[in-house]
Amino acid sequence: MEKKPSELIFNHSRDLFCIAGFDGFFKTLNPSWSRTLGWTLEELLSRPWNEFVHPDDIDRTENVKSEIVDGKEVYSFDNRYRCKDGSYKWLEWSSYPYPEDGIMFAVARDVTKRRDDEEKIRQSEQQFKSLFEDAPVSMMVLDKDTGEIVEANEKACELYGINSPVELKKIHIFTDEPPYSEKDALRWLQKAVEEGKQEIEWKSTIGSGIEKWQIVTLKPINFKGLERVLAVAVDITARKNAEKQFHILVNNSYDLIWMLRADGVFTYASPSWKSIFGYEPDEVINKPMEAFIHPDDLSICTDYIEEVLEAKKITIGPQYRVKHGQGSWRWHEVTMTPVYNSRGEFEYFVGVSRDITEKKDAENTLLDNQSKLKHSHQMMQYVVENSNGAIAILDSDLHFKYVSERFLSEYDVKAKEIIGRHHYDVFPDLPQKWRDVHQRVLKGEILKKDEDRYVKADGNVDWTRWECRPWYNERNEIAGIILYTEVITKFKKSELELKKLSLAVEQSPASILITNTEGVIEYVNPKFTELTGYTRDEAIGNNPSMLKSGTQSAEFYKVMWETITAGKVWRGELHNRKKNGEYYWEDATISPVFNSAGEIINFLAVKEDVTEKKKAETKLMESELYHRSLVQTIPDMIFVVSKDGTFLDYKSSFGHELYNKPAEFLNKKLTDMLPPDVAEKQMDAIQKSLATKSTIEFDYSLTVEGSDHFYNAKTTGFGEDRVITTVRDITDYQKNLEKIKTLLKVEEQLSENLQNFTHIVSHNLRIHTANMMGILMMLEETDPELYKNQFIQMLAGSSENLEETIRDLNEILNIKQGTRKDFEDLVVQQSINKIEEYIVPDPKKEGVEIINEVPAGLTVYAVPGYLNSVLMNLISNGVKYRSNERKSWIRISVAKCGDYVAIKVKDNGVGIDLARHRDKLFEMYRKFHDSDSKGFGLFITKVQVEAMGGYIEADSEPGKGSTFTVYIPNGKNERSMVGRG
Amino acid sequence: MKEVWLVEDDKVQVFLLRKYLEKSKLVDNICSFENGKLAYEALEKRSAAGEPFPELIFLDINMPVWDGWDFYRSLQELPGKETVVIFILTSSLSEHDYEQAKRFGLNDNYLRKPLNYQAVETIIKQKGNLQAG
Repeated sequence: MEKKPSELIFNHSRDLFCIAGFDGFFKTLNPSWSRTLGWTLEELLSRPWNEFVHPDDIDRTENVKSEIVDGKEVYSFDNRYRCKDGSYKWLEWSSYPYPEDGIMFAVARDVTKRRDDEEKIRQSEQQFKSLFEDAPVSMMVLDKDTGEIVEANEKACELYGINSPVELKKIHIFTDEPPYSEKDALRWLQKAVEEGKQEIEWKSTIGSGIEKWQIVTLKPINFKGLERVLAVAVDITARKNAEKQFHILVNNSYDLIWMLRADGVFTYASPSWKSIFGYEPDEVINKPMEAFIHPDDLSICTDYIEEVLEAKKITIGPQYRVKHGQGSWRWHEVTMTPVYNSRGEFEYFVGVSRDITEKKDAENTLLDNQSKLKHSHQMMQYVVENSNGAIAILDSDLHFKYVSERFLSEYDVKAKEIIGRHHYDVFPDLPQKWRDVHQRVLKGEILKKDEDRYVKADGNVDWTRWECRPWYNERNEIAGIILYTEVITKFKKSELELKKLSLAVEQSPASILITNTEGVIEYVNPKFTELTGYTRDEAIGNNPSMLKSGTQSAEFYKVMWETITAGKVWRGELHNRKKNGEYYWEDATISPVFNSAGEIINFLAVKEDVTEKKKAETKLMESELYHRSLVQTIPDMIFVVSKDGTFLDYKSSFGHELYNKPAEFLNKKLTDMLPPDVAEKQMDAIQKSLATKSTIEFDYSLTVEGSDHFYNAKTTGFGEDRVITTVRDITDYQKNLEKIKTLLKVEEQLSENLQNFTHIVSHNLRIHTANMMGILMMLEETDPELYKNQFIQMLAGSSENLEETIRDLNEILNIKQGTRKDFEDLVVQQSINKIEEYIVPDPKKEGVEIINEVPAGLTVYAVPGYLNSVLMNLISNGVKYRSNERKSWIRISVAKCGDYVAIKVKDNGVGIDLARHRDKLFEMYRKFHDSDSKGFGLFITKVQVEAMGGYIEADSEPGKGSTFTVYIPNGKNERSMVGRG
Repeated sequence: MKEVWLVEDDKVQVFLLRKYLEKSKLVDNICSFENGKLAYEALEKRSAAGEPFPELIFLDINMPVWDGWDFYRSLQELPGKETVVIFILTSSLSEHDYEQAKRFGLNDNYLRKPLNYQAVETIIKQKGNLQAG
């Protein structure tokens, strides 16, 4: 059977459908009733519905039923129905009456859940409202995007001085107040929303216009269904003002304000530290208090800290000394409070300290004054009685009122004899000078003389110091005079002595320094300053250890210190260092200075710079050592012989056979030890050398072990009555001399041969070439046609070559014979220019560049003919042996080279293989090129250069070029031709 | 120029010089001597006879018997020596010889062999002019 859709809805809907009679009973119910309320349909149908309605809702339900019965449709009516389990459910009703049938059609919906929620919200809002309205803190609800106040409570109004919360609406809680801007505020709002909470310190002037400091806590909330931000503001204006006042107070305080940890380290220092105490606060913070407190006062300060910790409250502290930033010690007075956190734990001390130095000084002065007063009379008495001077007090009529003991003894009078008597009665002989003085003083003058010379009756000179002054009564009238006289002859003498002494000290060539008993320098004289470089000001107050070089041991100084502190004089050498770091030696005497009580009061050091002496000593030692080793090195025998011919000392020879052991000679007469002829020669030499104070030399021979030995002896006077004789074994020399003599003879023979050869070349050979050339010349003039004949030409060529060879050979011989040539200052550049001019027309020269780098004014002291020839030779060699593979050049330059002038001729020609030819380069008849050279050029050049006292060097590389350097001695030294004829 | 003497032992030189002098046609009489001694003796004779000396003498140095210097030194003893001009003509290349000539004041009159015609002519002409003037 198919059901109708309405039937399906009726059966399955979650809503509750019903037909109810005006009689108060349900007529029809759908199954949803049973599902919602738990009752069976039969149970619900069997009883009037009012039995199921909540007793509180029955009246309302009856009223609505009446309306329906009157034909009214009712919507959205709520009431509660009891469930089978005893709980209630809210049902929302819509009803349609059918009065003609006496029934109504109604649909109900279970709204229990919604109603519960609504109730909860209502309750919560109620709670928030009451919390918000009545909260003891200022609260505002803010627009999370703009910061505008949406709601505010009474407290907020109070905070801002506004009557009604309504006036606060739409106002920004965050006005633009430095240091924050509205932008910052909006950022905080956003942060509060994002992070759930934000706490800020804020100053605003909203409402009354009064500056208000607040701590504002921002929290996002849902307020009336909107995302808002709740602002809870706490007024901290009072605290802020207090802080500000505190800061002003602290910043301007004349007291030092600080915070101190329990371990005595500062964590805060007020700016007043700088102005009052000379420290920047930063210099104080993190420093321990020991850094400032006087060591002697440290313990009372630590005790005080203990005391404050114990008292747990502000405690007045002690007076103690602290070091001012400028270095002086100041008296401070302190008050300190311990600060505890909320848990009652100690955090730090806050302290205030005050400089009471002046107060203290004033106290001391006061104390002083009182005690001074007390003692003044006593002291005056003491001074008067113990004064070196004689004191007399007279009244205005010049009667003695009082005289000191000294006066009595000085003038050999008795007090009772003179008190009350007139001055001039007691001393009738008093000179007019004094009477005048008295009159002037009675008129108010004070007269005195520090040194007054007067001749006593016995003729001796006395020096006195005197003073005469008026004294005044209480009415300030002159009541008399006070006379003070003192004989200072002794003092004067010692003063003069002292003056002399101090002058001596000041001008002493020794450096003098005086220290106190702790070694602190109290005085230095100018010599000290001159020597060490430390000024008087630098030295005084310092310790002599400032001079320590560090090269002498601590033990050394310890001994010195122990000696002088024991009252003894210390003498020694000190190795010290000057201000400029220079080391020096000084010979020092350090003596303690005693006072009359025998106590050491000073140490006096008198020191002399002995650096030079030391150096000289060292030098002497070195020199002695040097000479000794020198003497030892000499192979000769050395004897010291007395005037009468006794051997006193010796130094043996080595490497030679000896006539006798030198030790045997000692203390013996030389006439006993040597053959008569030798002894006689030596005795002669001794007398001559002593008489003429010169060295006398003689040769002699002795037979040693069967063979003749030759000796050379040199005798030199040594003092008045001794000589030193140096004996050299010249046996080998003598033998060599013979050889040399023989060789010389050979040499002479050779030389003669050479002379002859020279003659032959120069004359005999030359005659023939001259003839050949003469004939050919004549032939050329008389029969030019015949002269051109090939054979004649060959003959002419040969004769020219022969002529040239003879000329070269002759040139060499001329130089070697040492024919004297004159040296002169030669301008090198000009010589080269001339050579160039001479070579230029030579077609062979073409393409060779001559670079003349010789400075224009440069001169060489040389034989012009030789030097020109040398240069000519070298330059033309360069031209002759140029390379065809490149652009040729010859560079001539000059350089100074020690005692020589080096003329360098460098070319880039074909070069010479020096590895093969170096030895033979400058030899006669050497040819290195396949050219028309006869090999004389370089030989002649060498000979000429050597003849001028110079030398020549060559450097060359095949294919690269050659460099010839000619060294000519520099300057016009005594120089002659070097020749070995 | 009337007379020129050649004091020369080398026949080739005498030949050559004689040829040049003849060629110049400036000299009337040419005499030659093989050494210094012969030349001196001839001069001595002339001096004794009061006859004039030749105006010019070409003097070789290296000669047997008396060399050129021997001749020159002896010449200084003869009266009338001022009338003769001496030219040293030598084949020597020796510096030593030149130095010697210098000592005798002959350094400007020091010739080295061989002479060409030009040189001979110049010398004769100069000497001729000198005497003419």
